[in-house]
Amino acid sequence: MTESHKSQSELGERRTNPRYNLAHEHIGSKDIVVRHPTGDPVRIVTYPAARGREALVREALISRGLILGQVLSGVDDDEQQFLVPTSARPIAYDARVDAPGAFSYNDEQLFFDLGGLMAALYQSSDEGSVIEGDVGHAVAFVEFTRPNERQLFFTPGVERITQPLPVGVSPINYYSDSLALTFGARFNLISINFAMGFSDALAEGF
Amino acid sequence: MRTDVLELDRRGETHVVDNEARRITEFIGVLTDVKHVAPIAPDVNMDDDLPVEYAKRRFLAFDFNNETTLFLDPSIIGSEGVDADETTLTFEPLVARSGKRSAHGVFFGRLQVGDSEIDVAVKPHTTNALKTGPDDYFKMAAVREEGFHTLTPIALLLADKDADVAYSMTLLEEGLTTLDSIDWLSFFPNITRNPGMQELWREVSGQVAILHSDGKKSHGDLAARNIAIHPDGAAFLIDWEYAYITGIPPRDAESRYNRSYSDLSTLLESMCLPPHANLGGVEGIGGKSGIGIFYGKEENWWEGFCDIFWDEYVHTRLQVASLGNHKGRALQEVKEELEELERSLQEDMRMMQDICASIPPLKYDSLTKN
Repeated sequence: MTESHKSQSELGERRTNPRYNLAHEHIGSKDIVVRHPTGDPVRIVTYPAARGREALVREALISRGLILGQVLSGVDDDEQQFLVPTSARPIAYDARVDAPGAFSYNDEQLFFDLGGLMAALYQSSDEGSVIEGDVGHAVAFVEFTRPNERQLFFTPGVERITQPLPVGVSPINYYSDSLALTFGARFNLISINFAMGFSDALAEGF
Repeated sequence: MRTDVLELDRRGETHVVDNEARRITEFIGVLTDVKHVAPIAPDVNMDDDLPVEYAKRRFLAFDFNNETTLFLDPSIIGSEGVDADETTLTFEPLVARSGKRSAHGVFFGRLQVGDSEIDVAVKPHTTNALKTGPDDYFKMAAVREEGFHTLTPIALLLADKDADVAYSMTLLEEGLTTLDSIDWLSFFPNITRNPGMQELWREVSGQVAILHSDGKKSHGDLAARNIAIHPDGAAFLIDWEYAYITGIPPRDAESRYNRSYSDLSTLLESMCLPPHANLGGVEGIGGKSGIGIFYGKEENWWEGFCDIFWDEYVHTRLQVASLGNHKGRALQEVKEELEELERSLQEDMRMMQDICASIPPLKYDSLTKN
């Protein structure tokens, strides 16, 4: 056992299961479950703070309640900390759900909401921000909510994996390629919902 | 069983109607009819030859008076019951993505009993309900008594005898999902690319091996949808309604094999069949499906099954058998059992390959997924 593992287990900390893990290794974020001797486990995501354009994106998304969890750190802290719900998981690994009904969060709803989230990100900066790379790990889903409660959020640290939209590309076309990479051609069946969610959110404005 | 139906629209096209809202309305109707709220504490003696069956009979004879009753864990209601008129009983459904492939039509919500609010998973029993409802609840209690981690049984709602409806309820664990909620289509053959998922299967193999190790228990429906995982890495089995639990030790290798083979055969089938298989069902409803780890792959399925599950299962079974007072005899029996299991499962795998070859891919599966 390495020293770092040893001290983690002594503190009752454990890396969150990969199925749920919201960390982005390349920005240095971590997702851990902390077990207190008295009480339920809590889950915390930490990452090195962003500066400049990324920090502005972060503030814009937080002000609209679109980043998952509760911020524990100050705006100027070098390390950002978020307390996140235990059930939150990246959408990257989720199997298709097509069950209809008022209490089913199926693929149609998920991709509609995903379109809305991406539109909000696009509008969060003047140059139009988009996710750089894997959308499946940039967005998390929360189970067991009341009807009409938000279920889809950006993962903490998302601002660090954004970039300005490349010139000459429409945001929907940009994401179509990226989402097809993550979800395979399954996305083709549902891409209309993504486009509708994106357009509706754009129409509503930031 | 789940009772989704097909309905014709005005243009004569069929549509799947999800009956979840209807099931919830029926549940709230039964909850409204509750006459008594009573404590339930399953008295399961694991030394009995049929521990659950005897405990259930005692419960139905002494605790249920054929009037609609909500039985609750004493941690919520205390050791004394109350008349339903004296307390508030409400249910507020919750939205979920998990559990939508449940054959039983499980749904989720917030149950309020007096001042207590509990988030629960509700499993309806609509056929032979006075048998299956208590069976489900008591078997969960029994496996927990045996030291296995599973869902926490918290309430049992029994309608009067004529209604033939029951609902077993477990505490809703917020972070829990089942293996069928994961998209496994790109996991095999490059399983080492996903060490986290490999680790998860190792955990499952260990759990199943320990379940089978004393030859007294089988899960009864060990499909991927009945294997749960938790954010802290724990994997465990849920839905024990069809479990076989006895206090009598196995007679020989053959009786051990009979317990373990049914579980492993179901698991193997579940790993092979794709999510859209719907074998024996109609228009996407009611049939058998799986998580499709091997479906559509040209590589050796049996070797994949060994890498993902079987090797670790065998290792743990032999390790457990080499402990204890009668280790010589137990080890010999387990070795015989494992040899026979391997032969049978290889045969099952060949059969599944033939069956899967006859299942056409969904349109999107035929394209490459990165």
